Amino acid sequence: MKKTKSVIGKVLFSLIAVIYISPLLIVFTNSFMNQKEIYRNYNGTGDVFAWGRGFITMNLIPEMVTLSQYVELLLKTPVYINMFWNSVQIALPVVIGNLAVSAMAAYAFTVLRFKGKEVLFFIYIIVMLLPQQVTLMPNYVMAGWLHITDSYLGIILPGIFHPFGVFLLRQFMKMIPQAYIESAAMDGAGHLKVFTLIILPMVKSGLAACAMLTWIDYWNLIDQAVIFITKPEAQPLSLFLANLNREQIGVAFAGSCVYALPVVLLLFYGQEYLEEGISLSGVKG
Amino acid sequence: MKNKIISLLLVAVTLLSGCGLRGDDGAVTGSMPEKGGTDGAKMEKGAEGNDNVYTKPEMKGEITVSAWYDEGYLSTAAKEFMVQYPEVTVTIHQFYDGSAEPSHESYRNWLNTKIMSGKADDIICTTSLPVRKYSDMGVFEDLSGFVSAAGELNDENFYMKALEACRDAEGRMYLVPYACSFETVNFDRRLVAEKMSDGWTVPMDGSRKSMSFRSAMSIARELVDATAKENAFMTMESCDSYMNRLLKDEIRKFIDMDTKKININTKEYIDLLNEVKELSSNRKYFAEDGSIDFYNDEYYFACRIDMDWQSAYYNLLPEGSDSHGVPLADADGNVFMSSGTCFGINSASPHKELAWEFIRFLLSDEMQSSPALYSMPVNRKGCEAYVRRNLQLYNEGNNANVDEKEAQRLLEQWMEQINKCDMFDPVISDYLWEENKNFFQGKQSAEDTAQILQTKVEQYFNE
Amino acid sequence: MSRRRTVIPVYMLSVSVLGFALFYLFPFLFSLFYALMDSPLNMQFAGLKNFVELLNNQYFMRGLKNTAVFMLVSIPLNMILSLAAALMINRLKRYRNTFSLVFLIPLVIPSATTAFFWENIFSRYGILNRFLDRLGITGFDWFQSRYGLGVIIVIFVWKNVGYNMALFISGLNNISSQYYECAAVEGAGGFWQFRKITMTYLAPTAFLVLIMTIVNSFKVFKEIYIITGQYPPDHLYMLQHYMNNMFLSLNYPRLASAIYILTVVIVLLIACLFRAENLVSENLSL
Repeated sequence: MKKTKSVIGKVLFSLIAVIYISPLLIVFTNSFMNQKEIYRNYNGTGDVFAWGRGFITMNLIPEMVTLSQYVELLLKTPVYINMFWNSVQIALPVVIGNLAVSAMAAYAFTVLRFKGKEVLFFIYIIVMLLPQQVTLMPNYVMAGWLHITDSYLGIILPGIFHPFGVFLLRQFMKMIPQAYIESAAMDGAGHLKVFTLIILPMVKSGLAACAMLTWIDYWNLIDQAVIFITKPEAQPLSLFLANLNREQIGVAFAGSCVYALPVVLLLFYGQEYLEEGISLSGVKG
Repeated sequence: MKNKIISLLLVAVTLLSGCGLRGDDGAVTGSMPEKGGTDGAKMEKGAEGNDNVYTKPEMKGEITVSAWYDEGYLSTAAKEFMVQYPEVTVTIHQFYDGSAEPSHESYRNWLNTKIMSGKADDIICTTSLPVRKYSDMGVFEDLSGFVSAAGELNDENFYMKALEACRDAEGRMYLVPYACSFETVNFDRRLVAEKMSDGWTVPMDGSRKSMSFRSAMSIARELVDATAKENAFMTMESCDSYMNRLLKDEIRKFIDMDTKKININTKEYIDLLNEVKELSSNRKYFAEDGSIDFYNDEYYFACRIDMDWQSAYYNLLPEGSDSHGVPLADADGNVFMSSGTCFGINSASPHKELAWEFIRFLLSDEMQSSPALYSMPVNRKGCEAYVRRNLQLYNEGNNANVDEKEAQRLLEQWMEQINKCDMFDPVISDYLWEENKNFFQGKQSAEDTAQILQTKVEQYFNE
Repeated sequence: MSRRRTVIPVYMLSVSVLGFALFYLFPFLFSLFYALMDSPLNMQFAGLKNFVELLNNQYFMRGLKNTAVFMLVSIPLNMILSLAAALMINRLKRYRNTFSLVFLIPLVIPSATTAFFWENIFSRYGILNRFLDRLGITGFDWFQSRYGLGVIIVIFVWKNVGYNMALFISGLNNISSQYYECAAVEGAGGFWQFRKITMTYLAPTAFLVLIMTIVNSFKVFKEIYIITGQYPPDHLYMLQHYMNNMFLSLNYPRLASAIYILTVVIVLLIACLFRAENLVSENLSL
């Protein structure tokens, strides 16, 4: 009884997994199709005499495998590689900076006791919820004052101070029993020691989640790039892909694959840390 | 918790009052347009009395220009200007550099951010902008004072009606064109010759030498009816663009930009849609897609829409395809120039006078004659140079010998007829185009199309 | 703690607070200033005019309503599904990494490609209708139909379950196994363990996930926008469409006022949740 239940569960689970993975899979395999095949497949005209009775076709296996889309992308559009590097230059400092600033702030929120602490935290949360349209313009004004328009700093600095990390890490630190921190402090360890040697290792999974999600956000950014980066050669990859038009579906497929690669790798390695729980035994009580 | 909420409110209030103070700083830049506005008004008053009120500013400082794309005209001018006035720096910010084309919407987003934060460039080039909306919102400075104070801007040097085509009913001028592209209607030389042999003459709209799209099409129809030739059709336009042009003939009937009244969901609009659909499915008048082999078949399109210079040339070329070309007008006989080749001065700019001096420089004989300008100049000397340059090129290409004087005269005659600037909102244009297309492709009925458009445009105006 | 001992954490916090104030709090207040103006170019004080106009604007109200409906359905759905996925993956003995990676896949595909993919499934001549056509049913454009919002919810859930699942997994793993061991020694059953330990200790994570779902529900607009453009069918018209269109119309005061109306709603909602969460997590340190 219990066994059949788990088998059904697994089948269901695998089915969902297939649904989840199919878009990337299709994008991946279709990036090896030639332009003609892609056009024929994705041109839904409603004409019953046309290919696929006028419906769109999504084929997993290309009729003929070709690397032409990749050649077009990587060799004929050399800016692509450049833009890839631009994206890294934006996302990497944001992730590192945000982790550092957020972890410190979250720690302070955990150990400090002052009036209005919860109110301050509450403000962090509320402001985090603001949609981009409203903050974009003031941020631009701000960047003007700081003389960082037309540079990545206009995107990176707000990224570093994004409240998401503080919020996330504080929620994780809440789960550490207060007694552990206090006993560590009682032993005479300073805050820096407690923070780096005890707390940080304990919230490894939170740090991993924070890094992964921040990376995804800044790897995918579009709106800020439009406003802050006007030099075409300095634009990130996400913007390039968003600007590809309908006639370039094949290139867009290939582009999406190359684009997704670093994120997939990051997720793959970041995952292991996600599952690392708080190991209380590692702390001398 | 109650305490917390109260203290939160307190914090908010204190911060807000702090912001109020800071806001005053912002208001200084914010009030710039007002200040500029009074300047403009003062100057205008002075200009009526005598022309000497405007004094040339000290040629020193920095001005910036934003443009969707610079063909080279702006950068050439900037370079020359800086040579002439070494203490002035001109920086051009072009959004599209000619490689991967960004969306026009992202350009507007970028520009809007700059405008709303009071940090827009001093001069804004109008390519791909909803100029009407921008003017209504007060983005641009009224330049009428500057224009009337500038002595060189007169009929002797300029096609003044084109130069002042952007003047509104109250006499304000938010935009000054540096070039004035316009469209023309042309008839097929061979078909016209055939019909003229019966003693027929091409009828014009009234005394003006221009023609609306609808009258051009009725002539085209006559031409097709009269000929016995195979492969003779009314026009090459698709039914989408045919509809669009008919709409432009009398757009005020459907959308009034001044009163924001919309009458699209009407019998008239639905009739228009059906009329075009019926006509375009008539194989006598409209060629079927792909039915003509352009390389091997002989074919005739009775009426062709073309652009200014090119049209003039092919009308004058003895073996050219066109004849009887005239500027395309609307039903009221207004000839429109494109609004994409204008400049406006940012109403919040602190360097309006200097910016104006640069625009004056862009309008000067020297710059208007520059080979870096690729569309019809508004300056008479510039126009001559433009014709001379292109004539040489075209004559070589066609191995022909079209006379320069004749070309000058024809174009001049056309240019004199421009009296309006086409400021129709590109966003609404896109809607019309898109929904009409859906109708022609059979995705929706004419009634639905009219209904959808009515709601969409109403929403656009009232959102 | 003595004064000397709090110096370092105060410094740690102030770095973040400074940056936060500069790049987030300031813009927030800056926009309030604008919300009270008549236009960003004129800068005449208009008082509450913008707010009154907004509440009387049918398009704004439509956006508000659609957004509320969307959030009411998609947020609980998303949270339940992602918690279920996290619990399930946590119980797996093999292929854990592979499975959790699978759910994260939608996050790595660029929005334009995601939109393209879903559009090809639900459009008039898309895959879904192709399938229905085989069964003899005439299809229709799903986005334009009254099921449009449902389709958007499916896309939203598909895209964001992985995000929340990642947070839940790390939250679940952060619950010390000692608690479960103690409970097991005392003879507590699996359900009791789930209710008393998992639910309690997961509260901070659940709160985090909830907030992030709200944040992400604003971002769903990107895909709707790519698929249906500036003016979607009425039932897909979100608050974000309104805000975006206001931005394109240079009407920043309206946009800012819209944000403040939204903020009031959110503050009330979050304040309740915040309180609930604080009550639960106070129990944690016992």
